[in-house]
Amino acid sequence: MVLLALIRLGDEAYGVPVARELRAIRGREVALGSIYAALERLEGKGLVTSSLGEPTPERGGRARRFFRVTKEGLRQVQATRRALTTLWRSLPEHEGGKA
Amino acid sequence: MSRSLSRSSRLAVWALDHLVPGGSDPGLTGDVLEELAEGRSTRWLWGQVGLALLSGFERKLQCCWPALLFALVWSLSAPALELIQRQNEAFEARLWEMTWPWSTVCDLGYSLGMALVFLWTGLAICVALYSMTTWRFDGRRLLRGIWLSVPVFAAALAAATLLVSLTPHSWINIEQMTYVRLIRQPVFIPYDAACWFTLSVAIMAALPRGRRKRARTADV
Repeated sequence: MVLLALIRLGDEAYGVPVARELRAIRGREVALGSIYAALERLEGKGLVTSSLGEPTPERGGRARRFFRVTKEGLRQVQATRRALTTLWRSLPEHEGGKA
Repeated sequence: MSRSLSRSSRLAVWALDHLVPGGSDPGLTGDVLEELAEGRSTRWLWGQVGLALLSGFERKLQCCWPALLFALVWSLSAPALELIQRQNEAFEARLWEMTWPWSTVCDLGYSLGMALVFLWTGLAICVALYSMTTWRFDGRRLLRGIWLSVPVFAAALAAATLLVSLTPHSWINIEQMTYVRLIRQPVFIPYDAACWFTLSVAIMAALPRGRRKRARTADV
């Protein structure tokens, strides 16, 4: 889900918009610390890279950390989508339509 | 921006910058400040700080569990201090010959000093083992761990003493006990826990930081 949010946000993917994106998808609050923890794990696996922007006064002199999905990350997202699609297709149909 | 922050918010930002295990991410602090500027409450800010601390501790636990296990094993030998102190009864008797309050102050200082030396020995062994296996050592972080152990142990010891005084227990005669029987005494559990907690905090503060890839500054 975090990787998908990064892909959707493109060059503007840093903590605040990622949290808003996830909040919109999940319908509930997501802690910024949890997002950073997840992104750090993904960075450790080589699925994401990060770079610091310029410090700004409205952020108390702190820089934005921008995240970008790597080629390996994109490959993983595609592989997960294929696996999920296969799983959904293999589900039995219910009386009221597809499961 | 920071000038307009309330005292509580400034404290929360300080906690985020300094208390998150493994070091805080400047990006995270900036994001929190950005959200705060856009109307988030101080309560929300403290919630973010709490979750960042929990997340930091969880990451530390994942990477430092061997060190925490070492702290547990080392702390189990804490009751041996009592036996060592009993062997120096003549010295303690001399302390009690002093006038009050120096007798109490010196006896307390002696006990605390012995306990801290015990904890620092454990810390030094743990850091030495870590350095030998990873070839990484940070003297400044070791000093930080030693320094931090003093207030943490004082607080943990006070909590343990309070717990023991509030819990009904029977006094034991440690002179007639073997070491194995001594460490099984429930009365020592809060003191062992205080040692374990202090040593764990000190080890986490003293071990070199993980090789987290630092983000490069880019023109974005």
